[in-house]
Amino acid sequence: MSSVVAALIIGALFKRFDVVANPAIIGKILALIGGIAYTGSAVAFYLAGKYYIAFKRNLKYRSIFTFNRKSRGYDSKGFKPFDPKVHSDELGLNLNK
Amino acid sequence: MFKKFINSLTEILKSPISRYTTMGASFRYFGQFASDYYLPLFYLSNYSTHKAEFALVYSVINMVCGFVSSLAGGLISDKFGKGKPMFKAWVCIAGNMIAMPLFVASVMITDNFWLSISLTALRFLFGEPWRSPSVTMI
Repeated sequence: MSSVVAALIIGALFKRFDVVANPAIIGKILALIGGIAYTGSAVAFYLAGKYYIAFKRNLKYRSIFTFNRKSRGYDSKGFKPFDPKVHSDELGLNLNK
Repeated sequence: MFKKFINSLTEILKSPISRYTTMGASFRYFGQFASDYYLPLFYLSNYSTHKAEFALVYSVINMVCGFVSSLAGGLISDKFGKGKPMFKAWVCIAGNMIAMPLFVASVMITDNFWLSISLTALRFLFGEPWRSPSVTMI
């Protein structure tokens, strides 16, 4: 799916900047695409890693993009202890009954 | 089939680990497409006198550097990442952050073929270790 999106975007950029007449611009377009791809991927892997820590250590994690993180009991790094009893309803465990 | 695809996508998005790992991989494939299909166009347009060298060197780079990098990513995260869950993510992030300036430099240099292709080789060598650690996280 991401390859299809990439094809559409790169194709449109190549058409817009007429790369046939000016081949030097191909490098600049590829640099932009590469910059977005590598940076976006690094951010996504960072968030995946944080959630992976939470999963491994039985914690809950919320990123800095979460509204009111501190007042909801998360520490400065975004973690808080995970209590299955408190979250049993959303997990469908029915531990409170 | 479309319903199956939607169901699979929903399953992936349920868990935040697989959601963000999939997003990271999608970004990488987005860049990979630019690299695989348009990098030859870049080299053949800007270095038209080096067609034969490019074909040979690029295939060797893809095969050797890509293989070594993917294998090294898995080995490094297994060897040094015991008890450190974030280490797997750092392997992926470090690979991306080293590869990005190498890729940008390789496509911005238009007057030195061997420097540009060397940077492409380094980019493949450092930029592909994300596969094994990300699969382990999922």
